[in-house]
Amino acid sequence: MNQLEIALKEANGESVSLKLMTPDALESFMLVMSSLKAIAESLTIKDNLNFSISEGSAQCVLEAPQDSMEIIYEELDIAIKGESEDKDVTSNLRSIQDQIKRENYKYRFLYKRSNKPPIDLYSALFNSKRITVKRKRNQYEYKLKIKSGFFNQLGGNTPNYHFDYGGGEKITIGCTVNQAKKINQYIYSNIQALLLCKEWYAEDKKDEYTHKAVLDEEYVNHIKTYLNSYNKENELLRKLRLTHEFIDKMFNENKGHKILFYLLLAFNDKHFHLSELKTLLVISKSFREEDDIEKVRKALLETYEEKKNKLKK
Amino acid sequence: MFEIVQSQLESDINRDFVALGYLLIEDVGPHSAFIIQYQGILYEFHYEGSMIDFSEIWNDYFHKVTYSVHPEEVPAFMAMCEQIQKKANPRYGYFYSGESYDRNGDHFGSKDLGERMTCVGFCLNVLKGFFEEDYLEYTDWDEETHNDVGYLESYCEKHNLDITKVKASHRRITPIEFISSGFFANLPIRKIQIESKVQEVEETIERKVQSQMN
Repeated sequence: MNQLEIALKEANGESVSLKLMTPDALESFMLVMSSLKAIAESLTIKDNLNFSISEGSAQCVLEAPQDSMEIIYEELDIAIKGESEDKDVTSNLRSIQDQIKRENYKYRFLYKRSNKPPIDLYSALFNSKRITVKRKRNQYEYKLKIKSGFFNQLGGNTPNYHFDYGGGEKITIGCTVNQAKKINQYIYSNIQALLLCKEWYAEDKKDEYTHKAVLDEEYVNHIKTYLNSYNKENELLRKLRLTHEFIDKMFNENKGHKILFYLLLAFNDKHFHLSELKTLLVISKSFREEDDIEKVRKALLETYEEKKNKLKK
Repeated sequence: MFEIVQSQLESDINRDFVALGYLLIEDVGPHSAFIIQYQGILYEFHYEGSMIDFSEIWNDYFHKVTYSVHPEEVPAFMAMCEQIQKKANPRYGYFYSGESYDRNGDHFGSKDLGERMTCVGFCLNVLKGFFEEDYLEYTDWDEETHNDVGYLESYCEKHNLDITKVKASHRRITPIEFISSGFFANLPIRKIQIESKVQEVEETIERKVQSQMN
């Protein structure tokens, strides 16, 4: 099985062992591990991933099925070449690179393949310029994303909530008062949230998040896989095809209603293209009188009509 | 400014649109289709009586752009057409009872007819699936609109259908009425509105055909 292996060999000139680590060495190693985990999770579904940590320096190995692993490696390779437009990949890979380049720290980072020699990612990262996201013409882009976290705080006049990832890493998610009332039932638990992200290409600008829906666990991987392809696709008609095909597939697996419900919530935003809104309306039309669908569909219809009227002027 | 154009010769290449197409087929009669332009390419989407065709344009249509579909909605319209082509399975017959295609391209209607329709009925079903409102006030057209005496009786006998259940859906909306509906964007469109345009449309097409032949 193909593997990504990353190991901290030396910190401050001392060789590293899992049995005895300084706080600095541990923090560096944990940062590298969590960055690798974040990259893998953003590109493939969680169930496919296996991590192991072992002795022999401090070593972390990621295993995944061949096709998932190839996707992950390819994205890393594109990012190292400075061609990646995926900010999740570039920002996390940059964190790894920062640790790799640290003075007096020695890492090993390999892509191990069956029946082929391993690829040395350490040297590639060490010798390449600082990893950055490739800028597009726009300054920012709106994308739907799923983020999970522990939900422990909600408030404010313009309400928002936070996911705290430790080490100063946190995101703030804006929501409406009505959404806040509903989300409150999940307080003090881990939730999977479907969010609209205003993603800035400028590295120093923080992404902005807006709440769309809290997802039931059983739908998370399906939606994640769909959004991965959706966000990568730049051509509008192909994006719409993906939506049709995804909902079709979900109806065949008896998950269609709930998925349609989530997408009606998710796409209810004036920042989407009129055709993206319209496609959801077309797909949901024959369910428009059903209890769970009626209300969320009406809300999206309002957004659509508002947008269409503005375009006319 | 009369806005019926010859699709392949006079179409404004710089904008996306959905248009209602009209084609005169020699020895057969008039035919209806959607003419769609997206990113500079013209497509035709229509029901040919045996299959649904969605391809780059190759027939010599006349069309009228419909303003009921916003230029920014053209990709959504195309995506829907692709779904319908994948899944629908209409059969030929002069019926239209205000059905539509649902998200699966499945025929969605309350009548006992199954998917029986003409090229026009097919186009109307597509439009109805796309809009929130009905496209036509279809009850304005009654059985009298079909002028072949005995058509309904022989059709029902041939296909083993119950005439009492089918009768209310038996109507004929013609290709010339269909293209003429493109002048109106407030839905549902009434028969009386369309009738006010039919003659003008016929004359324009006739004139264009004549000048083509000269």
